[in-house]
Amino acid sequence: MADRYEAEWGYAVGRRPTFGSQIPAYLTQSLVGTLRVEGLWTTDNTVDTYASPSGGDLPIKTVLIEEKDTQSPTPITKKTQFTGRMSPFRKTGQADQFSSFSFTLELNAEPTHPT
Amino acid sequence: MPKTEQEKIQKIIEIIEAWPKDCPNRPTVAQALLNPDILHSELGDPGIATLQSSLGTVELYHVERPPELLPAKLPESEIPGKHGDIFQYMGDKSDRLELVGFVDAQSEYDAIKTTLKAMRQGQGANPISVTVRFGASPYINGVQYWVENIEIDPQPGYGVFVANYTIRLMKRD
Repeated sequence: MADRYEAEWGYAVGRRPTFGSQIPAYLTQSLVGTLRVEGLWTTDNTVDTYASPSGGDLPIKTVLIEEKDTQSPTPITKKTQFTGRMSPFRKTGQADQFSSFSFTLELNAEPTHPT
Repeated sequence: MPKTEQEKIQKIIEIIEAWPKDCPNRPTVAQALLNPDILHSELGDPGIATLQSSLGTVELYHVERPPELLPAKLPESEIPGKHGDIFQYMGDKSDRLELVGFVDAQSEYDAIKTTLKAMRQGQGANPISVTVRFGASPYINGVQYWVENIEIDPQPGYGVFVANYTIRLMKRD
């Protein structure tokens, strides 16, 4: 029931100024990335269990997002696969209204495009 | 000093050629032509600091801080029945200099670990001259120092070889 997602990832770029120069040295650092997914909450949803550690470590979960265009004559489906640890999980609700949830996946690798 | 435009361009190319090939911050000719300040010197030495003796030369391309200590000998006297200490100036002690920076290529690491250490081992007979530049201006220009302890601290989280260093020096008076 996910209806919105937002992902960002990249390698941090460190700036280290040097003496007598206003042009810093640029150093490529380690990977940082998150995937945020929002959706309607249903009573049979168990995705919140992935936010609990198992043996002291959060389980590495895979999220596959499929996007399909409407171009004729043959619509193309593109898949993007994210892996990482879920932190945090959020759930909101209000009386007489629907409940919704969101989670953030802390990525442990660059996303891939499985065929 | 290069005078004509042709000499300046030639000097820029020579400086870039002297940079380690594996350094990710090695300037390109296009960058240097557009912004010559990206080079630390137009005089020929590419590093911010240069340590040189007859045993070798080490260029330091990424010096962050070169702090100096100008120590004095101030003997302390205590007089019975009087509060506070009395100091007397007895002269200057040898100036200290530290070169604090980082390397981002293994060849720069090897230059400190191997070349500078060999220069240090032979510094009794082969004095080490130190030049430190602010931009293109050498404000410590060919001054002889003793190389003392060298600290190298490799850093995590980079895809290239990054290590912080501190090189301690004492002026050779």
